[in-house]
Amino acid sequence: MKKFFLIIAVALSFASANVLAQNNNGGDVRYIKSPRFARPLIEKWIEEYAKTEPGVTFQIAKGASADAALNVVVDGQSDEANTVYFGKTAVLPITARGSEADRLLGGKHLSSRKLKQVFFVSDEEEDERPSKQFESLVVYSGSNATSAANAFARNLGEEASSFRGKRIAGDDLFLNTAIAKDAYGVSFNTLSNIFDLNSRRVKKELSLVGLDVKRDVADDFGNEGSLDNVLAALESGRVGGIAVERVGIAYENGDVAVLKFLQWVLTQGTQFNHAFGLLNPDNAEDGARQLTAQK
Amino acid sequence: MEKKLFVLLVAAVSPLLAIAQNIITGRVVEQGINEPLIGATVLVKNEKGKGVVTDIDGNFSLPTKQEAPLTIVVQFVGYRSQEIDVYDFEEPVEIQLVDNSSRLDEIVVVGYGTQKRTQLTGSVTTVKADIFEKISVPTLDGALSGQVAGLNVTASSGQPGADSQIRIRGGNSVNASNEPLYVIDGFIYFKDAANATTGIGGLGSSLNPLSTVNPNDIESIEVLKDVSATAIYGSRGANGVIIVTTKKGRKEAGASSINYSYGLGVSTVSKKLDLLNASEWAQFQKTYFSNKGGYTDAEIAALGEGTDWQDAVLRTAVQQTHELSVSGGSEKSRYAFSANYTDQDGIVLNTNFQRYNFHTNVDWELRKNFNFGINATFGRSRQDVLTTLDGLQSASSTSPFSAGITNSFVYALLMPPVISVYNADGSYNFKNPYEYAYFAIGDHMANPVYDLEESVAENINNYLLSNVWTTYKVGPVTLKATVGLSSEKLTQNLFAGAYTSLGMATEGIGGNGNRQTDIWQQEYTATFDKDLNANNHLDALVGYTYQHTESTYSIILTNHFTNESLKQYNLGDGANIYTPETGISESRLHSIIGRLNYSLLNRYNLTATFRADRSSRFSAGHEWGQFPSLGLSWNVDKESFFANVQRIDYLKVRASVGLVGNQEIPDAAYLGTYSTGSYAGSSSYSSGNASNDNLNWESTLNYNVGFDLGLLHNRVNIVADAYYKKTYDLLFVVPLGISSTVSRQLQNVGNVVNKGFELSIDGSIIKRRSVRWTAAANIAHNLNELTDMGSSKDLIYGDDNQQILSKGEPVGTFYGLEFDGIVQSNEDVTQLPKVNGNVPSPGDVKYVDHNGDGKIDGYDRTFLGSTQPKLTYGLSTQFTWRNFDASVAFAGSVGNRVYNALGRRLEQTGDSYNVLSTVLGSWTAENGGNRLPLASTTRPFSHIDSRYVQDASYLKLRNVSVGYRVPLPKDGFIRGLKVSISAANVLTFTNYKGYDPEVASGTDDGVYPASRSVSFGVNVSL
Repeated sequence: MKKFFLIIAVALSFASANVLAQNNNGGDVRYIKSPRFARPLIEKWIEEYAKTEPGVTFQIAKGASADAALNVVVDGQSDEANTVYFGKTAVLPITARGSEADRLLGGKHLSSRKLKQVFFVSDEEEDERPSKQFESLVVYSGSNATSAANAFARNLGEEASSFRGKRIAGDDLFLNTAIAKDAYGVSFNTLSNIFDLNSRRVKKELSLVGLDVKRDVADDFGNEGSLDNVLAALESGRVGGIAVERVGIAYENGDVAVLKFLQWVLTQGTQFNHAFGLLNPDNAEDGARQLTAQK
Repeated sequence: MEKKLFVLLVAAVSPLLAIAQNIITGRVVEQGINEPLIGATVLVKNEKGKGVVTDIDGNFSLPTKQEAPLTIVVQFVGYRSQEIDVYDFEEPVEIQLVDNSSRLDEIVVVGYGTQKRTQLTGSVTTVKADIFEKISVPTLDGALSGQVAGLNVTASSGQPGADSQIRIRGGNSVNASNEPLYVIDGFIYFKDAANATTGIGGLGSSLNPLSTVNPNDIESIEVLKDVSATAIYGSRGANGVIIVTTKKGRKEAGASSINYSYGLGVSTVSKKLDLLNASEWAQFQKTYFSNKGGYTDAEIAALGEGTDWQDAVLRTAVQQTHELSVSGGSEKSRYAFSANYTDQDGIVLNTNFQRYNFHTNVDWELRKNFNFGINATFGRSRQDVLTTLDGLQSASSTSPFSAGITNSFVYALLMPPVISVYNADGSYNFKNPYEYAYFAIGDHMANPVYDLEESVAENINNYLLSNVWTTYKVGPVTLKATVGLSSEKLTQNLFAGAYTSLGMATEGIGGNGNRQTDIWQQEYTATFDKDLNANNHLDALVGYTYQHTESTYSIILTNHFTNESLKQYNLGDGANIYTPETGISESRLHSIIGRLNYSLLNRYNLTATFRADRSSRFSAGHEWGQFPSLGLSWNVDKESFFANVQRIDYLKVRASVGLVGNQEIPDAAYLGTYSTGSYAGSSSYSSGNASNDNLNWESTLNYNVGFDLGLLHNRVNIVADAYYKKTYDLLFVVPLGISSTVSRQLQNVGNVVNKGFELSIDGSIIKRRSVRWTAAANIAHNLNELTDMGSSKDLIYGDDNQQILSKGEPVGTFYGLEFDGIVQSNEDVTQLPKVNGNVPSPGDVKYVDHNGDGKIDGYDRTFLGSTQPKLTYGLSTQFTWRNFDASVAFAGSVGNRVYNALGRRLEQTGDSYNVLSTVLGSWTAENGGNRLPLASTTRPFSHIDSRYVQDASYLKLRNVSVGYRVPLPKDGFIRGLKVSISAANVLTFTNYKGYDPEVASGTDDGVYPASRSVSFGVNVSL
């Protein structure tokens, strides 16, 4: 009996130690911290990079790890000197498909002004008084530093602090969950959180809020549009007024393995951007040159 | 063995237990400005536990056993609480709370407690601390001007550190004090003029009693105006009450805050008088007088500007302040400490105000429901002022400071501009051939620059104001005991050497006065505060208070100095010693207080107050006074019939009635008094006030009705009040007949009535996230009337007999002849009333013969207006755009008059002194003129006339300030950095001809001129 307890104790001790060990940045493992919209892409990179550099292991950091060597950030979240931008993400407004909010906004093509009315506290006064048309809608926005809330607000000339409605804490992916629970919920998200990366269509539980875009691309920005068409339209510059932010990786200078990985990302890794819902960067070559200089 | 195994098991699984506890981290900031909110509460909804509070940077770390998704609740007083759904714990949460403070949610400090503004029945105006961020002043009264409807602040002079006259809804009394009562952190603090001086005299100004309070220590000021609010102060509430609450720390762990600010500014005189220059003056002398200087026309032209004596005694003054404050606390205690240094030069030579002030506010929760606290202020103020003859003991009648020349600054204005300040070798010039009367001893004449530079007139006050309190809470009852001490040691030093104006007649005069004033206060109260049920709230207070005041003083004064090098520190050198004076005065005030606040449905509110005072200032049988009041208010907006009224968000109507008193007369004034002196080498006594065993309280019956109105979602707030105050049994100094052995007696005689209305409007004009614009305006009208004087006849008073107390007229009414122009060359002088028995000649002044007896004399005098303004008003606005802020404040008054004695003196022509340039427009046969008579050495008529009782209505741009908050990294060492620039007393619009229309006494006999200043400030928060 006593031996049994001893075995259990030792086993549990090992198990817990293993769990905690993830936070230790020891050996040749480099952890990458990323919001979920970019995680599938990062995982793809890790897989592909491992084929060319088997000696160094990169892993996605899980939990609230502060020891990640690399951090996926959106524009303005980190020191520019130690950040390389590998792509861009677009942010679109959404509702839960079939919800009351979807019905209210269905068939509408909202201009920037209307979007501001729906999502933000009136500029005229601080008391939260949305325009009557959208009074019943409940806006859900993220409150994490990596949330697309900042990009969405900035694009409309607003601040993230000015969102109406409710805040959630957690990855933006949970915005989809939040609006699914509220018939009047309306939110926004990045393309990779909105589209099914396999079918390339809008996730069946979500509905895109119609935007005031040119007629020739209007269908692409509807529920029947495809991710690839949206990406193509955005990259071609045919669509304006959509929140698009650069996505990059912040790193600490001095780790050659990290710099080498980032150089690979900028030269090889970006070919997977579209597959995982990200736009290509404007100047990946500049970033690669920056890294070469630092090595 | 099993125990060991258990321990081993626990040790083994403990890492797992640790990670089984989720941790939510984040930061709470204020929306819009992103400043961290320290002490905000964060808790998991529906989870038992206390939650956590944010630290100094607004950060929090909240452990929870619940799994995501869960909801956290963030709360902070004054902010809209927020619920946030947490779906994972990976990233820190950034939470922005919206400021939800509304004036209507305010908790207002009232006498011996606090109350919700919605339940107030009285008229109480709150002035928040941020006013002192915009208006940089060394004392709090300087910032109140124009801020509160019905509160009129009049600066006594431009002297740094000087006090102001404050009147709330007009003055009730004639001879007793009209100053409001101050309550500083619970300590009752009356601005007793008698305690602001040692009695030595000779000093042109005394220290502002409020200089003991550093404005930057103040959290809020409540102005209690009507009787429902003031009756709890009974015999001291008649003039209104100003409650000052100082800043406290915060009862949260790690909530420390360090703040340093520095201010540097310069001041210049806000207006100069236009005096004759050397050429003009010499020409004037040659034209009208004997041309003592013997100047030819060519020499006169060459004189040019000559010496500008006004410039010679004025200067650009520098002021600076350093301010360090530290505050913080733990779960069971909080503290606030501040140190302040102010050094403010005056714009007149050798004048200054300097203060070191230390303040602390600490309290502890010693046991559950048992608290203990201390607040204390310690400091030293020093003020260098002008010398004056006023009040100087046994001053020689031959002293130069007479004949309307009150001090060396005024004498400088009179100096002939052909006289230089210095000799060619740089020494002071004491030669002035034009001076032969007042300021000359032999061949040596006074030089006002020397006077100012070398004379000593200083007030030094070392003070301690402290309160120690403890509270114990038993259910809804809170017991409180407070013991406080205000201890002030005032020293006044005076020295005027043999070459100075003041010391000239006595070959130097010097003195030293000391006054020690100790006020002990004890208060014991019990408060019952409870929501009896959902509809009834009761708050009841009973208590006993006691205040004992003792003031001792001593004065030593000598003259005839042979060695002036040590000035007032070697008074023994003075060969002639005045009779030393020492004295003591003592008073006691026992009080029983009671108050009942009852609120039904948060809609109908009642306040009943009672205070009984027993004052030693009245004789046996008249010591007790009872002061009851009743206040009612009705929150009309909460009635069901009001539900459909769309445009009004808040409406409360108020009414109150009650009785308050005034005991602010000298101690033992009911007794006969004698003062000591010397006569023929022996001591002597002279009688003063006659005894009056029937002396009683001065009482003020007070009615008030008003309403509070909130419009446009309470973005516009209006407060209006109308009041009627009748003060009866006035404490009145009555002259006795010549058959009496004493000249005067303090009696209860007559009534004064004040009635008026007040209106305040404040609004939020723009309330966007990045732009805010607020404005506030107030206006008040007060009609003051002396309605009864008992058996007394009209009483004329003042140095020039310029004022009168007369039934049916306001207190402070001016009395004099009515100016009727100048006799012109072609005028039929036989039709004019005679003056001094003579028929007026062309160029003489004409007066209105009011009694029609054909001659001008004292019986033709009439009422010429009063010092009481008909309207006072204020307007202020604040604008914030992103990191910039700006504020502007105006204040004004309409209808008050000032006797411009200085102007009268400076338009009196002669062959000794300089005059105003208006004198060049004096009547001449060739050019006419209808204001000033033909220039001559004739002294003005003994009675004042309406030319010099001038309209002192004004509109002042009191303050303009602009600030910029420098953006800083969120997690940096420096949490806040703000730079600002402000200007004070920027513009004055007035018809008044003197330096400044604000003259507290109503008689401008050459008061220290007002200044305009520009200051730069920097504020750093850590």
